[in-house]
Amino acid sequence: MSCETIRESLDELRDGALAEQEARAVREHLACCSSCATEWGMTEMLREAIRDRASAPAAPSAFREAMTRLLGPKPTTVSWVARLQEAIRLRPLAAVAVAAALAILVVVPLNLQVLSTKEAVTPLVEESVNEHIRQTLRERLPEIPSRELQPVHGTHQRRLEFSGPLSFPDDLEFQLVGGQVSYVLGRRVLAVTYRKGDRPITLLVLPGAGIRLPEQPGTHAGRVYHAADRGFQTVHWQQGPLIYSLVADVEHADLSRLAEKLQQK
Amino acid sequence: MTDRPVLSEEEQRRFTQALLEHLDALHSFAWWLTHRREEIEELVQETCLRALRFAHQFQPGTNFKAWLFSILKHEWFRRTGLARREVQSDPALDDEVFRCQGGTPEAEVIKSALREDLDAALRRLPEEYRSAVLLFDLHGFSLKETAEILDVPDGTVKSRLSRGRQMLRASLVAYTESKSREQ
Repeated sequence: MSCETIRESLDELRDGALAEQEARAVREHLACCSSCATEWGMTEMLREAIRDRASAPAAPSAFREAMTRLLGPKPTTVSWVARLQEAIRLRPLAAVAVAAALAILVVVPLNLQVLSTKEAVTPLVEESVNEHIRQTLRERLPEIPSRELQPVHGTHQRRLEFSGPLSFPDDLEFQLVGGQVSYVLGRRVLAVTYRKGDRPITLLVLPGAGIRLPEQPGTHAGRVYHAADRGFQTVHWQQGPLIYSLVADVEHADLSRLAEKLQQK
Repeated sequence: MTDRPVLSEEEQRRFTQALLEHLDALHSFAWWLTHRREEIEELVQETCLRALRFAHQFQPGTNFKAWLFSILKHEWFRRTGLARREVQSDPALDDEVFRCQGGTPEAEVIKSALREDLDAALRRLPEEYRSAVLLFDLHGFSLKETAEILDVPDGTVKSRLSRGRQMLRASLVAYTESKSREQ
C-alpha cells in the first residue's frame, strides 16, 4: 500500500473500523515507514493536547439547575379524580356527600371558574411553561418596550400572524416589563413579560386554531383554565380567535387576578 | 400538534437523567459553535427540549450521546443556515499550512501548547473542520457517528479531519513563532 493510502486509513485504524487484515497491513507499514509513523505520532500528540488542554467548559450550575427543573418529571397523574372514583366504588353514599361538597367548592373568586387541575398537562401547558423558562433565562431586556405595548405598535403587530388591536395593562401590582415576538406550538406568538415583585410572569398571546385548552375545547368560552406543570402555575383562556396563557412561579390567585385584569382591558 | 407516544413517568425520569448526564458535553460543544453565553444556553436548552419531545424516535442500542449531538448540530444548522453553505477555507490558514511543510519542530510546539494557544488555533478553523476535529478527537465519537452528526458522508469527515488537523498544526506553529518574535 502507498503512503497516501495508509494515511487515509489512519483514522479508521484509531476508530477500530478496519478489518483485522487491513489493520495489520497498516501497522506493519507504520513500523517500517518513518514518514507515516511521524504523521501518526504527530496526530496522536495533537489529539492528546486537544483532549487534555483545549477548553471544554461545563454547563454553569445555574443553567444546570434551570434545565433540571425544565426537564423534571411532571406532577403525578394519579389524581384526586382517580381517588374519588375509587371512593365511589367502595362507598356510594359517602360519594354523594363528597360530590355535594365539591359542587360547593366550585364557587371561585373573581367570577373566574377554575376548570382543570394538575392532570391536564396539554401541549399548550407544556410549551407555555417552556417558553416562560426561555424568557426568564434570557438576560437581555425584551425587544419590545412596555410603552409600545399600550397598544401594540403596528410594526410589532405586523410581525404577528393575527390582527389586533392588542393592549396590555400596567399597574403597581403587575408591572408591564416588555414583550417579544416568539415561536411556540409552530406559530408566532407575542410573549409579554410582567413582574409581580421580583417574580416574572409570562403572558403568551397566540392564534388559537387547533390548540386544545386544558379542558374540553369550545365549551367553556369566557372562563379560565388552570393547570400546574413542573411547579409553575398556568392560567389559559380564549378570547375570540386568540388564546391567552399566563405562566409564573406565583400563587394561582395572583395569576387569576391578572387574568381578570387582562380580560377587562 | 401531532400526536406522539407519551413516555411513562418512569421512562421520562430515566430519559431526563440520561440527558442531564450529557449536559456538560452538549454545553462544551455549543461553546465551540458560538461564544455568546445566551446563545449557547438557548441552543442546549432547545436541544434538550427537542430530545424530550422526540424521545420516542431514539433507537435503543444506538449511541444516545451522538443522537443528542446530532439534534444540537441540526438546531445550529437551522439557526445559522450553515448546512446549506459550502465550507470556506481561510486563505491565511492555507498559507500557514504551506509554509509549515519545511520541518518546523512541530512536536515541541504541540507538546508545549497551552490552553490559550490551542483554543486560539481551534477558533481559527472554519467551523465544519473544527466540528469534525472536536467530535472525533475531543468527544470520542466514531467516524460514522461524526458523519451522522454533521450529516455528511464518512469520506468527508475523514478529509475534514485531515485538513483540519493540518491547519491546526500550522496555526500552532505560526502562533508560537509570532510569540517568540515578540519576545
